[in-house]
Amino acid sequence: MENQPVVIQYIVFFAKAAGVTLGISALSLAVGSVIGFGFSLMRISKQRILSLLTFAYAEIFRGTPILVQLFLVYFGLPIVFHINVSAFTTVAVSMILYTAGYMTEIFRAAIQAVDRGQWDASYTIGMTYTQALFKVVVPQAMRIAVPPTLGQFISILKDSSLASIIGFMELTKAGMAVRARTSSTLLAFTIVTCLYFVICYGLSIASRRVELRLKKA
Amino acid sequence: MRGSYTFDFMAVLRYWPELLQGAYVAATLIIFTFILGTVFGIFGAIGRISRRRTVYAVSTFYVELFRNTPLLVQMYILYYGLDALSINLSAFTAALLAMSLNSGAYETEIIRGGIIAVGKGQLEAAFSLGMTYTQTLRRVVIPYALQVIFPPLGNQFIGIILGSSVASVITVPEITYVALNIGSRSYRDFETFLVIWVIYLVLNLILSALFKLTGRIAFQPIL
Repeated sequence: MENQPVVIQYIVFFAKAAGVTLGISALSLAVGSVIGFGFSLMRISKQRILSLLTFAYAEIFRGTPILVQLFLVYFGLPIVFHINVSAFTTVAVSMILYTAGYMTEIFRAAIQAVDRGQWDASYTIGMTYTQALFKVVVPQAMRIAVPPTLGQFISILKDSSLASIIGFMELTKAGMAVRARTSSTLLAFTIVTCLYFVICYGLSIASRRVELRLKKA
Repeated sequence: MRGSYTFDFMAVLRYWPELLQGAYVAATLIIFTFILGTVFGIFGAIGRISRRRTVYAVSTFYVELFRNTPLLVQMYILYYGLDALSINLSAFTAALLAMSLNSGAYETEIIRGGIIAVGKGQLEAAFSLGMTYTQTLRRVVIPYALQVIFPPLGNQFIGIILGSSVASVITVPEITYVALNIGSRSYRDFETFLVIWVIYLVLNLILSALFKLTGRIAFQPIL
């Protein structure tokens, strides 16, 4: 137990690492959502090629392990673009690509969950496809998409732990580093587990509340 | 130097016996995880619908703990953490246990959803038709619960396949681990990962199509 005070000293270190985990996950969700939203519009469009391409994109990134995608970016970026990239860039690129695949499906499902009658009503009052989509359907779809998006955020937070493998200093890597320095393995991992749990469980409770409120409305 | 990289997939493909061996280890890990996870899921679900406070609290804690922390950290705790307590699990056992407990937490919620979906009204209807308890169970409860459970359970199986790659981190010699190994010996890391990327993708596409087909044939809506 003589190692315990040493680990307590690392509290600030852990807090910063948890901040990095939250930051990289939020970045991936934000950029991945923008790409995913664009892709979802292509996915539902009547242009066969666009629809097929975005369908394939979503299937590819949802059907392969994030760890394999991470290694592909890690080994591939230097080869394809002839650049040496930081661990941060590698992690950000792979997590954004991965998240975009899931967000494409979330937005597509949300748009298609909006009642068909909303489209008909929009056309009846003389709206074009674009007007109906952006003024009537998308606003409603966004509300439907909130709970699954929060769920996706929780997944991203957990998946970001894999970034530790290529040396990116986030929460899991911080646990490994403290473990290496203090040799109090269990304590280090317990702190890491608790931090992940507090963040993810907090979000899942928030998600449930939002879902209930949306159901009432 | 721009554009000078030439892909060489043959350098990777000649290691196919190792990839096959990795696939075998992965398959073993995945199938046993699914079986153990389902056992944990059944017990978890029984606990989650129990009226006993302690049973409910313990199973809820289990579900929330494993669903809200990363699989990688769970593996680290079972592999390195228990090792610190002088409990030495092999890498495979630690990975299997972590993956099963993790999957079990998700399966708990899937199975609970299936049990809850069979409303009281359906039981009453079956009994009032003169069905016995066994008949009700066989003809109403189980078919309906399976119909609800089957699609998400299929997704969970694919989730286990995707998660199995994480086992490479604690040195379980499954496909991803073998790929890292081949990559470092052939200096063809990118090609190696492209190859296993396609392997994972094709496997998952085939399985998800199979699950959809099975769901449509065997568990079609009865209501």
